Amino acid sequence: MAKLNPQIEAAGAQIVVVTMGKPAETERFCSERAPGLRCFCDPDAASYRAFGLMRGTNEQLFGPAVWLKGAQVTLGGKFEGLPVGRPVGDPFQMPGVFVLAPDGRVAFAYYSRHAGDYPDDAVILRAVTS
Amino acid sequence: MSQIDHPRRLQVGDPAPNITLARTTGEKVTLSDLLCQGPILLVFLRHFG
Repeated sequence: MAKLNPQIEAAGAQIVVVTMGKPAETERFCSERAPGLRCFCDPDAASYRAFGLMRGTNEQLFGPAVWLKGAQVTLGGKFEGLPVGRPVGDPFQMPGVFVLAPDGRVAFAYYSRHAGDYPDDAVILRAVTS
Repeated sequence: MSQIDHPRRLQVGDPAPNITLARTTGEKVTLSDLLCQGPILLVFLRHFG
């Protein structure tokens, strides 16, 4: 996500990252993987639930689509997306991506279909700039 | 395992909940505070550490 930041900022927007880590875990993650982004910690995942993000099923967390995504990431050399170590926070909590307009309304909502599912960069940029 | 909770999914055009977020320093900010600076790409992550 950090690699999109110049284009996001050029569009007048900002990236806000929320993790389920405790402050030290979030600090470490963001310094390593999301430098320059605004990072927030929500160990209870209350904000996830407020945005309608559910806990996943076994299929969504461990199913073939997750393994396929991992293989694609590995073969594509994009190791930054690989899960290494133990899950931080609720291991069943699903992720998601939203674009919020300045008036506070949802301009884009992406509910991940499985644990490794995030929208493509092009989709994100289109959502931010449209 | 079945899904345990069923929060309502937001749709385009819905008002976003004005959640309060905590920085790693402990300082709290609301989404409306952040929106004063412009649109937000809000990413809820899963990560490993």
